[in-house]
Amino acid sequence: MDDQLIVQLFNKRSEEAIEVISDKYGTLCKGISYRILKNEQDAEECVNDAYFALWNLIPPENPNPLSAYLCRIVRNITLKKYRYNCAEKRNHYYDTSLEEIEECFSAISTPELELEEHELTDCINRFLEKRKKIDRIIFIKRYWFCYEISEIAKEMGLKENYVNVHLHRTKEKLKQFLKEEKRYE
Amino acid sequence: MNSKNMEHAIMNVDDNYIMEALSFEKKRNTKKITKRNKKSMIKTIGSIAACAVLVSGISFSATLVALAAGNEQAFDVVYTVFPEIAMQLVPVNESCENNGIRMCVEGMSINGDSADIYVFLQDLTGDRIDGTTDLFDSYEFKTSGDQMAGCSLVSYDEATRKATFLIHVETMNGEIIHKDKITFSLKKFLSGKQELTRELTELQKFEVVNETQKISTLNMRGMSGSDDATFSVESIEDILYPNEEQSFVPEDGVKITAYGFVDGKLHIQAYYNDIINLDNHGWITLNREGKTIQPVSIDFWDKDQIGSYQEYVFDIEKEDINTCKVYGDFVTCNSLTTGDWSVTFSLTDK
Repeated sequence: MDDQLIVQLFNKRSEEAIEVISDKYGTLCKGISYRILKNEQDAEECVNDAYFALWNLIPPENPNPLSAYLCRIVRNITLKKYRYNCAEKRNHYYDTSLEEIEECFSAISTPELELEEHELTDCINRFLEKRKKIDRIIFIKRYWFCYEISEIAKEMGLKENYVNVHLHRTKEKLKQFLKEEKRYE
Repeated sequence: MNSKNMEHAIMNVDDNYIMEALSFEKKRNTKKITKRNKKSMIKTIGSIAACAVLVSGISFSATLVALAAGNEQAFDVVYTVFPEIAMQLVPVNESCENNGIRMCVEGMSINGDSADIYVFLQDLTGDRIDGTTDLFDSYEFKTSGDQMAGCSLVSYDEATRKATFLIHVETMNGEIIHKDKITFSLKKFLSGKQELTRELTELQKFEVVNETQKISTLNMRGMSGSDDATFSVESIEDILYPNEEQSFVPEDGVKITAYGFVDGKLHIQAYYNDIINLDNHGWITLNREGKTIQPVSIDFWDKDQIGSYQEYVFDIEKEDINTCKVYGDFVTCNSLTTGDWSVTFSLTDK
């Protein structure tokens, strides 16, 4: 079913909306959550919470594209769950992914260079815009969707070494890009 | 800046980039698409095409009209997987046969310095094509400069023994790809691939190894670093000799040939048989309390330059090794088909 029709079902308060969105995006949402939590039951709960959140948000929201909007909700709820779980035990897998990208920002981590989140997002968007499509996809899959390198390679039909090398180059370029931004001087 | 700010900044990247990555995500669901869904998607492509014709320029419209007018069937598989690409494919339908295998370039699109090629292989005489068929970097799309390419198996139809691929090519120097004379060729492909991930419990007694060989004496094939390591791969001078007493075969085509500590670092050496023809390869990691430790690796040829050794070097202390598990990811293959498949066409008259 087309996404706009799904949004219409939400607007009509039809419970079929949940069924349809679950059929269409359930696997994708669960994948996002599972890659961070590494726990199937927790991932399932987060996805259900995301559907419930979507039910409360539409209306008045009218998201377009719906899939990206839903993915953001799933990721948000999952990270909250992750933080809660972290109080007891660290999930090394997600931390590793976070630490990898954190090093790109270490050069600008001083109080006088502190940035608002939205400014940093703008920076990252401008940076990604300048990258080749294949590098952008690898970057987003690794740091947004939390894919493992081997998963990216398999999914995109690339060699793991290719993914590793390109990810490394993209991170180096991001470091350089952030340093070159005038506000960071 | 704290990690939370950074996390939120990443979280809020533009929707377009998430959608772009999601278009690849859809590949995973290919096999689950039912006939009913396929039909509705074919209808969708027609209606999208019709809408786009109203608002687009002449050349783009021509492409879409061609799709909407009767080529939906050809691209329905790719449409379900990569809809954005399918929308832009121009029908080509140029094929050739060699060694009982038919290769057909069904469609192609060119966007400046990049191109997407939709191609299928069909075995007309046997079972050499399967759901693991891999073009193994042996395909060539002729441009004047260097290029990088990625190939995805989009679908495999057991009934017709037909595997379809989507190949993405980008020129390294930004050179524009011309539409007038395009040649796509293929020399070989692999099938019967096996993927195995397992714990290598055979590795026992990690001893310090004193008798080693110098890297400078080897016929090197390559090396790769790791963000995890506190040392650079270039700093390694000595590696293991193959040791028959330690050797075992975790999977056909792969042999663990030696392991032990050299200069305070754990070395594990694997041998991959006939990598030239079969693309056997793998990767070894450690897992310590749930955290994966990646190695640096040094690759060198065997004496015939057909097989390759790969030595994985880990930043782990000898006293900590008992808290680790060793895992191997191996990809091996048992069928290589060679031939000479090539088609030349022009997109200007399509």
